[in-house]
Parts: sequence; structure tokens; C-alpha cells
Amino acid sequence: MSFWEYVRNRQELLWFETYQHASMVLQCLVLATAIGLIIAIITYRSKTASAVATGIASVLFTIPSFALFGLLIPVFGLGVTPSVIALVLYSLLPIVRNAVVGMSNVDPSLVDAARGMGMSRLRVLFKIELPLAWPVILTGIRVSAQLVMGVAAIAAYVSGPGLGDQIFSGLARLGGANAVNSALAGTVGIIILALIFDGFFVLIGRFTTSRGIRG
Amino acid sequence: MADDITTGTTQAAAAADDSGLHNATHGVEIQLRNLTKKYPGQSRAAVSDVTMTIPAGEIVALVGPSGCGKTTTMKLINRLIEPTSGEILIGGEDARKQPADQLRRHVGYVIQQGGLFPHMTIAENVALVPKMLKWAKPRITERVDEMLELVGLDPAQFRDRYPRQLSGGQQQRVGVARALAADPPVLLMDEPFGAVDPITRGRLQDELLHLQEELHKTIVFVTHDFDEAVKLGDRIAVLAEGSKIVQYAEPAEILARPTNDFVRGFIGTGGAMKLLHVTRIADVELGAGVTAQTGDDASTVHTRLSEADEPWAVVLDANSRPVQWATVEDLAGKQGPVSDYGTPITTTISGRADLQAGLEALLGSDTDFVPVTRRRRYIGLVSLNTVQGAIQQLREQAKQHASVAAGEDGA
Ligand SMILES: Nc1ncnc2c1ncn2[C@@H]1O[C@H](COP(=O)(O)OP(=O)(O)OP(=O)(O)O)[C@@H](O)[C@H]1O
Ligand SMILES: [Mg+2]
Repeated sequence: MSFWEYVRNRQELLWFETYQHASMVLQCLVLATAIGLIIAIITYRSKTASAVATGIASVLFTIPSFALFGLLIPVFGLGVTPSVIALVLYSLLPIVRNAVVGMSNVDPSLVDAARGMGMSRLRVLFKIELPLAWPVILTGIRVSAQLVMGVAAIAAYVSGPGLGDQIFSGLARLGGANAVNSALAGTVGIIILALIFDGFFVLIGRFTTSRGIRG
Repeated sequence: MADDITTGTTQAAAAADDSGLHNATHGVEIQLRNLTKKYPGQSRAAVSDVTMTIPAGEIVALVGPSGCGKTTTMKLINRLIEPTSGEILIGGEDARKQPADQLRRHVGYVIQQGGLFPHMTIAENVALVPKMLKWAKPRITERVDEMLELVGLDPAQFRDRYPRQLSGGQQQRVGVARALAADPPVLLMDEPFGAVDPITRGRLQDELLHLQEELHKTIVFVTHDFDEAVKLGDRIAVLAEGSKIVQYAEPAEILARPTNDFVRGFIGTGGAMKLLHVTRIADVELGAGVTAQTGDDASTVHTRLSEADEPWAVVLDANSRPVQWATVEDLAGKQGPVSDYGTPITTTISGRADLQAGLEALLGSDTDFVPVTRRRRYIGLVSLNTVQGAIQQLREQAKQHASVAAGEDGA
């Protein structure tokens, strides 16, 4: 069976798994962005605190994905939960790091100017610091998206949802019928998704970054 | 209190009560009392026991070497930094008795390079404080345009631009417009024109003086540039390390009688020339000269000149404008209107100009005297003698001032 025949035969399953993959990645990113931003907002004013936060995120980042999934099984079992947790943990580092860097790179004289005209701390954060750091933060999210897209494939190892299933079952049956087609379908699907996500982020960047600071 | 400003128009609010910080639009007095700020972990105080009164509606220039505590002093006034000890009264109210954010909305703050927010349009930048004070939308829109016009930027052209699409000088203007938008009685300007070229800087300084003529804000202006301080300041405070006030006086007095070498060092060379810069021609004793009307008879004028022992007369037209010189020789033995014999006056100078401009006019003219006008009417003559006399007079005045003031600000 050719690759195209394989894809046509399993159209429905592939669509479903692609959808699951995209949906999982998207939800994990939203979650990671929320958590990452909160961590960054709490820590960016203090050099020590932000270094600790980035440090922890880096350590998590260096754990090989298989090992991390493996470590999560005894605690959370199989399925969606361990997959989401692992993906969120992985995507934290680029988001936290970029958010901290972005916000601490905001010109202190601008913060002075903002405070000097009577803006509260919170208003300065939401009106000045976050908008100015936004392009850098968004880049962090974008990097995370690419990263998580690949790691999400490994979620199949803990019976997580998504295109990883195609790859794993293909690899498991290596030499057997359609083994290569299956692995290939998963891989190509992930690559296409990654490209779509990236384009999506470019668009978000266009629409959410002020023209005054767009590169 | 702040609500008064949000409901009525600015004028109405100003009329209601002109004393408190929140209601005033004209300047209010600022008093620093034994103000001290020590940053944590530093052995010396950045601002050390400073006591100073900044009179309502005046521009006070703070000059001093880098790191002497000028910026810290400013930030103490709008409470970006809390003092270690001492107090600040703005418009007679203790600055620390009200929430810092509320206070700051009534104290304009302009920093170097304007401090504009790059992600907001010019209009959004200018509208920030009025928005926080919850002005009505239409009023804010109107105010933004008004402020842009005030600082010489065409609203239609600049309103929707972003800061990076403006030159340094234009950004600086927007910075001033933004600080003035909510009509605060007090304006703090920290080296606002430090980053622009000298020509633009000169123009911005002129504009600020022009604005101040109308607005009468209390302005604290930090600068490194003594000439800028002389030009803008109604008073100058020369500061040494720890914001210690070495001399606090009007520019003419500092120039004429610097208290010590530290101040002399700041004035730099050409102190006398700078003195010329701070004195208006109309304020010094001018030569009267002999004047004549265009229709006067030549022989009568000749007689008057001989009696007064003057070599020539200034001929004025019906509106008292100086139009001609008529010399004794020209008029000797002549009859008929004096204007038939005079030579046209080519150079006159406004009494509003400073002595330095007067001196330049003298050097550029081929006569030893230049007629001085006020609203184009003749008020007298300036000569090298007048300038010299004026300098002497300024020195004398400064001496008297100093001996009177010696008791009160010997800081
Ligand atoms: N946030 C801070 N923490 C610790 N020390 C500070 C801080 N800000 C200023 N200083 C110190 O306080 C002193 C006064 O600083 P300040 O910025 O007020 O000087 P300045 O007169 O404005 O100087 P410049 O003309 O260079 O702007 C300096 O010695 C400076 O190092
Ligand atoms: Mg400074």
C-alpha cells in the first residue's frame, strides 16, 4: 500500500488524531502561558527570584521526555493527565525565561515615568510592562509551541492522545505491513501542524503587538 | 478633592479654590524641610538635610555636578522615592498625607528623552493622566489636541503617530504636553532637553518660557547646563554633593556675586557675558537723547541740539517710532521739516531683548547708539556706556541683595 492509499484509507482516524494533537498542544500552551506569566510576574522584579524560577524551569527542561513521562505514570497513571502535565512542564522554560527577560528589559525610566504620572503598580504592569514585553513573551510561547508539538508525540507512550500513536504503532511493527506509512503519517502530520501553528503565531503577533514597537 | 477636577471644567475647578494641590492649575509653592534621603547600603546621603522654598509660579533650576542628588530630590517631591527624614509641602499640604498615586496625577513629570511609551500613540500618551482622573472622553480628545497645539505640533498630523515616528525634539514636546495635560500646578522636569541638539534645545527653551508666561506653573527644572539654568530659571539653586545648596538666588545675582569658587566653576568663563544675557534692555538706564517730530522745523531742532550740546537728534514719526537721525551739521542753517534732512535709522532694538542682543546690535551698527523701542515706540538709546553702566548697576544690586539675604539662606 502506498503512503497516499494509507492516508486515504485511514482518513478519519488521522483527522481525529491530528485534531487531538493540535487541541492538546493548544490547551497545554494556554495553561503553560498562564502559569509561566504568573511565575514571571511574581519573580521578575527580584534578580534572585527570577534566577531561581528560570533555574527550576531549566532543570525540568533537561529531563529526557521519556523519563519524565515514565516518572509521571506511577503518580498519574496513563492517558491525558500525565501527557498534559509533562507538556506544560516542558513549555514553561521558554515562556518563563522570555517573560522575565522581556519584562526586566523594559526601560526603567519608562517605569519611572509611568509611576511618576500616578499609575499604580498593577496598572504599570498591565499597561506598560506586559505590552512592551509582549513580543518577547510571544516568541517564548512560539518556541514552546514548536517544542511541545514534538514532545506531544511521545505522549502516546503513556497512552496520551494525538499523532504520536501513529508513530509509536508504526515503530512497534517495524518490518510489518504499513509500519513505515504509519510512522510517516504521524511525522508528516506533526510537521504540518507545527507549520500551521507557527503561521498562527505570526498572525497573533501582528494583531496583538502595537505598531509602535513592531520590528 | 480630586473629584472637583473630574466634574467641572478645569477653569471652574481653578476658580473654586486656588490653594490646594488638587484644585490649582496655576503654580503652588513647594517647601522642602530638612529633607534627607539615604539609599540603603550607601554611606553618604544622596540628599542631605535640604531645606528650600520653591515659590509659586516660578521656574527654579537645579544645577549641580553629576551624582549630586538632583534626580533624587525630584523623585522625593513626587514621592517616587520616600525620604529617610524631613518633609515636603506642596501648596501647603503635606505630600505624604495623601496617596502617592493621587499626588502624582497633579504633579507633571518630564524626564530625559521624553519617556514616551513607545507602544502608545501620541494621543494615547498625552491622554494618560486625564484618563486616570476619569475625565469624559470628548473632553480628553479635545484636551489632547489642545495640548499638542500648545507645544507646536499639528494634532491632525501627529495624534495617531507612534513615538518612534517623531524626532527627538518632537518627542520632547510631547513629553511636555503629556505632563501638562491634566493642568497640574507643579511640573518637575529632569534634564528634559538634555538629549537634543543645541538649536532644537534653544527652541524648546524658548517655547517653555513662552508657555510659562501663560501657565504660571511652579516648575522645578534640573539641568547640567548652567546657561540653560540662566535662561530658564527665575531662580537657580547651585547644588553640591548631597544636594547641598551652595547658592540659591536669581540668575543675575549668582552671576554678579557667586558665593564661592564652586559656583564660579559652574558659571564658567564669560560670566559677565551671561549677565548681559539675563538683563533686559528696557530694565536698564537708557540714554534719553534729543528727540524731534518729523514735522518739527529744522532750525528749532538745531537750536535744541546746540543747547543740549548733543551731536544729533532721533526723529520720531506720528506713532513715536524712531525713523531718522538728524545731525547738527545736517541741520545747520536749514529750514522746513526736519525729516527732509535726516538719514534713515536702519537698526533698532526691542526693549524686551537682552543686553547681549543690544551689544550685538551696537557692534553691527555704524552708529554709536541704537534706538530702543517698546511696542515699536521709542523709549531711549542704548550705547556701550549704557551696557557698562548696567553691569555696574547689577553688581551693586547683587551686593545689596546678598547682604539682605545673608541671614535667611546662608545654607
Ligand atoms: N536607586 C539607587 N540606589 C542607590 N543609590 C542611588 C540610587 N539612585 C541614585 N543613587 C545614588 O545617589 C546619588 C545621587 O544620585 P542622583 O541620581 O540623584 O544624581 P543626579 O544629581 O541626578 O546625577 P546626574 O546629573 O548624573 O543625573 C548618586 O551617588 C547615586 O549613585
Ligand atoms: Mg539625574
